[in-house]
Amino acid sequence: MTKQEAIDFVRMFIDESGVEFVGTLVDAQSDVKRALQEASYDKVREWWARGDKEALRPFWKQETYTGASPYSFASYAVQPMFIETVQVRVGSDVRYPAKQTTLELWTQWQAANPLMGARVGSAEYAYKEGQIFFVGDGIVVSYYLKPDIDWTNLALELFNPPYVATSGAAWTHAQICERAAQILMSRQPLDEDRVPLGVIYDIERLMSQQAERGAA
Amino acid sequence: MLGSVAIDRVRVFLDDPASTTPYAHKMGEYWSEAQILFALNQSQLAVVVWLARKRQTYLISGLLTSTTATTVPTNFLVATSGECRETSPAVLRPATLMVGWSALDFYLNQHRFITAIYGETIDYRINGSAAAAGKLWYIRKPTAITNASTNTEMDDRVYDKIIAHAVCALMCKDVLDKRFQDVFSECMRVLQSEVPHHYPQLDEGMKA
Repeated sequence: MTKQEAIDFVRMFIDESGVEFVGTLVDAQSDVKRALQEASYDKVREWWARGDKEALRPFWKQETYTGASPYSFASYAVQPMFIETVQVRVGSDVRYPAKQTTLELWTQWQAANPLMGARVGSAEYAYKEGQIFFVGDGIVVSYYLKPDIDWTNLALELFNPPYVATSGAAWTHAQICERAAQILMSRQPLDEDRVPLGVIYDIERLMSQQAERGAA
Repeated sequence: MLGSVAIDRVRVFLDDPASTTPYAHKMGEYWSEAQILFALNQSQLAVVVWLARKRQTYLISGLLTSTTATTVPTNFLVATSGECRETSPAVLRPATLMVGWSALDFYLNQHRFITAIYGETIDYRINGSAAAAGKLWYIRKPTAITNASTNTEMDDRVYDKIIAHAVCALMCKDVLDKRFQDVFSECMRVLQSEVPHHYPQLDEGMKA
């Protein structure tokens, strides 16, 4: 789904009686764009919580770093939204999957007995905004990028590079559009005629909701 | 299923003969053909992914395909299984399929054969080392529904579900009333109905 298609799709959802109430603003698409951006973050967090890595696949990224701790991400744009795994390198070939520990524990542990050279175990790491602390000769960090939509070219796919563009999980785009429409609808005064928007394209969730309601 | 037939079937659901609402068009015509086609294609993706995850591949068997490449193909939708080939003997072995780099943490000590997908890469591994070759079985993206196309790559009953799902989505732009609830629950019934993997035999003595 291209960005323009996504905008049109959202407008189709929120369109009642042919009147597009967000279309009357100065930049007709700005509200829809903001809602789509908000919805992307929302859905990515939801997929992460559900462990849906197939949906998250377009945002996957990996960095290999050789050097001393800490590793600093190159810029804010490539900082992780979620870290999947960190492997600590020892020497050139050996890698250990590392467990995350809290920053508090990390700093206290380091300072426990500096004279004895007390260190945190090698297969552990701590994350500070934009930095990864570890003990070893380097790391391989695999993580998921923040889903920031670049609106410069509306004819391109919703998420174009640095995200996986050619084979991105296109089936998730409708879910994002639907969530965006739900966000826009929720700004309107509360009334009774709200449709069950928000789970239509997420059929697994739709089915579990139907089952909870005891329907069919 | 012919695309134009699918559009008509959606319109039958959406149409409200009793409506006196002063819309510019009759209720079923209120949704443009382009909107219905777009919704049908999005529903097609959602339904296929849902069926694939339910492992009901017998309904979408026309979409099952494989690749030996190490890059995710552009028509990739959902992975179903993976295979790895040893150097000797040169045969493909069933492999554990994993999505995400955390597969590495597993295949180093848990599984012998691994097919892992991360980003755009497909990784075939045996005992942690790169395999000689491998194969990924996956469900490809279905052919897009257009006005003139006849799509036959899935069971007809899947197209019933797709139409029902598209109606659910399209009705969301309408107001919530009794009619909406009736049509919505009817569409839900079609969507939820379990489709057996073959047509059941008729009882003895019965005629088709």
